[in-house]
Amino acid sequence: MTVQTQRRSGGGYLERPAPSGLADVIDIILDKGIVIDAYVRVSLVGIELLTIDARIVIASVDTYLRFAEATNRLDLYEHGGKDLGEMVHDLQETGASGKTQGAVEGVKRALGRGHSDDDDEEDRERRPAKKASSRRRSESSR
Amino acid sequence: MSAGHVTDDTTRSEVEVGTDRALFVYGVVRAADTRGGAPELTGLDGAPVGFVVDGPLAAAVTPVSLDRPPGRRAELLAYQSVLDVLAEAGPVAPVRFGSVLADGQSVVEELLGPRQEGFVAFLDQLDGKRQYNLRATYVEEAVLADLVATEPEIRQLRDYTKDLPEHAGYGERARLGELVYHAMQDRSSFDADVLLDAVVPLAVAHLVRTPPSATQVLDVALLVEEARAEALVAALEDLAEAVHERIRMRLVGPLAAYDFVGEAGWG
Repeated sequence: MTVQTQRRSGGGYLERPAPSGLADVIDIILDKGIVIDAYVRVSLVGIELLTIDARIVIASVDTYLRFAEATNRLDLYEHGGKDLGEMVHDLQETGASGKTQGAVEGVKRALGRGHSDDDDEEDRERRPAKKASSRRRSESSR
Repeated sequence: MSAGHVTDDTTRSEVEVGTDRALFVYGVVRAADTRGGAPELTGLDGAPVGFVVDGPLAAAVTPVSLDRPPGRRAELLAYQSVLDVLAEAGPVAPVRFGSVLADGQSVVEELLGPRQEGFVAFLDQLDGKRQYNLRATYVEEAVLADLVATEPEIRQLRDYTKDLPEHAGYGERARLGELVYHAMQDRSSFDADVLLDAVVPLAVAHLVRTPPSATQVLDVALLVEEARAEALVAALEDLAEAVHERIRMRLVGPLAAYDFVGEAGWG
């Protein structure tokens, strides 16, 4: 999955893609807008095809297996343990408004960023040992 | 095969049966906003955008050949870009993609005339506001790690299945995946509320486009005052930073108000 990030501003954690890809455009416009009575519409070759919505996700055993696999692939690390409510609350509490780096640092600390740094090292050490044997899976880019 | 698709059932526009030209309709704007015309603005097949005016309203249209070969991508992109350019200039009510009317008279009689009041009210309300689409998705590894750490059954099943050969432990794997999937769904609904609470005050209106799922927390359309757009981006940037280890946030816009036009009550 390639994420095109343009117009990244400031810290750049908020992705601001220009919606130029077909998938983005479909997502934005499909099934939206005022409907004109079918009775008075004139048909245009090929247009109806576009209303086919392929974005159906069904919870199936396959989905479950995918999650199981993802869970098993993890290199575990200790996590901050705050829930999202607390993170956001902290943010609001400190009234961070873009420039208040101190507050944001506080949130980061609360999230245990130190841990994940350790982690990266751990990852690097562990990876070679974990010969991927024959399971060559084309993992989407990370 | 491409001939004769102007079917006999277009009884209302009998005059037009047999012709191969019609009008592709993009959206409705206030007539006052079209005074300068739309020089340079082109739509489907590169045709210049024109306006069918009726009282206070104008519909943006381009002539279109009815037996043109289908082409998916270019049409969608042209449609969106026309609407987004119009939205830069003033409020616009998008008409659903693919709407084609026989001629200018049909545009007036079938679209603008019958809904004049509704359009005028909607466009006035929309004045000075733009739509942004905000999406929040999980950083899957982080959430999974958290689940393994906090849910004993998930941890046990993971420990059990992790090093089994691929063909073994199918039942346990499925059970593990099921637990993880449902736990993520629960978490997603909870997190969606948290994020929404933070985001909603930034907008004059919001609409959840897709309910929370195991991987996507939020997919919401925000209607935002143009004057507050910068504040929105700054606030979302802070929010994205605060949650970035677990959630990725993506903001698309400004866009035409594709989602909010459906709310205006004219189906």
